[in-house]
Amino acid sequence: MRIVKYIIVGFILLSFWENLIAQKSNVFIEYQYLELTNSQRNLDVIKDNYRNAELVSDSIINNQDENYINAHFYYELANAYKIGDEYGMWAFSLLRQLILFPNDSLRNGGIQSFVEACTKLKIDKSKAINIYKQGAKGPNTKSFTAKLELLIEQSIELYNKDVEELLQQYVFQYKKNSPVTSLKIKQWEYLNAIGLNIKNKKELMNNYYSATSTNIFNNNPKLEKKVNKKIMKYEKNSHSLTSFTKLFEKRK
Amino acid sequence: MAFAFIKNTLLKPIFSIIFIFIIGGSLFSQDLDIYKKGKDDNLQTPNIPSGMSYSEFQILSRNLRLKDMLYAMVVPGYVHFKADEKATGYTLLGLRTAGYIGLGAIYYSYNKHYDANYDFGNTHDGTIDVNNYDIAFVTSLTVIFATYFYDWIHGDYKLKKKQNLIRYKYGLKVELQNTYGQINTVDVVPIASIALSF
Repeated sequence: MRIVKYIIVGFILLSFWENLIAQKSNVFIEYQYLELTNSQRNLDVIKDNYRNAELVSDSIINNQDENYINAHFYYELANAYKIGDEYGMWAFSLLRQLILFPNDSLRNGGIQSFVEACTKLKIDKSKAINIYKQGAKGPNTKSFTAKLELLIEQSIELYNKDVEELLQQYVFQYKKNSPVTSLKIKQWEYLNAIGLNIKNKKELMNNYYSATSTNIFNNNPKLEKKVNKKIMKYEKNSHSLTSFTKLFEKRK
Repeated sequence: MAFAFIKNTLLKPIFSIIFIFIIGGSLFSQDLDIYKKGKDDNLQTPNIPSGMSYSEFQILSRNLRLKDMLYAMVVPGYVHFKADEKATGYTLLGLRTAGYIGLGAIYYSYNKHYDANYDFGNTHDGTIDVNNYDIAFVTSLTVIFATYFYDWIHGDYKLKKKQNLIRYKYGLKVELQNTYGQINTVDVVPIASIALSF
């Protein structure tokens, strides 16, 4: 009789064990789903899943999960955004894959796709290649926070509305784990806080990081007046220009 | 003989009883509905797939019934609002309101200018040309009915399309979760499995 009891308990334990081991993660399921739907090229089905895919992406970033499947997930997500003509998110997903989860087998297809996405975003080819190469080089340290910092810095260069909305969340996550914030991220955050539009933000940041421009406004009085007005409105005090001048002081 | 008795005497009451049961049954029901609801759905707690938003859950649990057809007569754009197509819903609301205003304006204007002695065919000062009112009346009615039918037919199509997308998405993901794939996200561990099927 005892042997029968052991067999039954054994069966129960085995079935539990099988469920525990064979449980697939959400990332893997999402990756499989993206693969299936991308191949169908049905826009309604693909667009309907963007929100769900971003939820899975959020869980990856929040948990700092470094599984190899994440690279494939982001690459397939980039393809989904490509089919849906979401150029900013297409380029951003490729950057997420490249910087957070580098994978050599995806490198060649990745750079071509990234340049294509940047062309649609009206970013010239040389700059697109430069952004991708900087991303491919990776950060100095191997920590996830350092990767996140590099991802945010490179993604700022895309100057896309959808990407910037997501970047705000990423900056929040990055600041939780990093005691010191990079200058570029601080500058971008400040320009966001004063409510500058993407076009002006791009102009200002490009002037600051350009080797040729003489000053941050590049002798554009209209832009200077607009930025000053925004700063005054945001800071609401007489020393309002202090933060701005400190953040955008002349590069050495 | 017996057949004649049944035919002449019993057939009428039998049909009457059946008819009363049919009518009575629908009188006791709480909704104008051709489907019978055997249990109280509100007591059931649904299994909601992870990642499903509240708006998706709402869309999935909405059905178009005969009473909605009646509501849509009263509330312009009702079906589109139900299908979470707010922009189209408000457009239909505006158009139907314009139609009602048009009808109201015609009624008011017609009564104000109506001349009981008006001789159709002859135009004379102080009377109205009925044909202009006809055109405005028909246009207003067309707008009202067109928005109603568009709301009903297109709204139904939109709702079903959205429901299919949600069902497809979560249905496929649940299936993918249940199938055993070759690649696993956790490190691959050799396992022995036994499947029992009845």
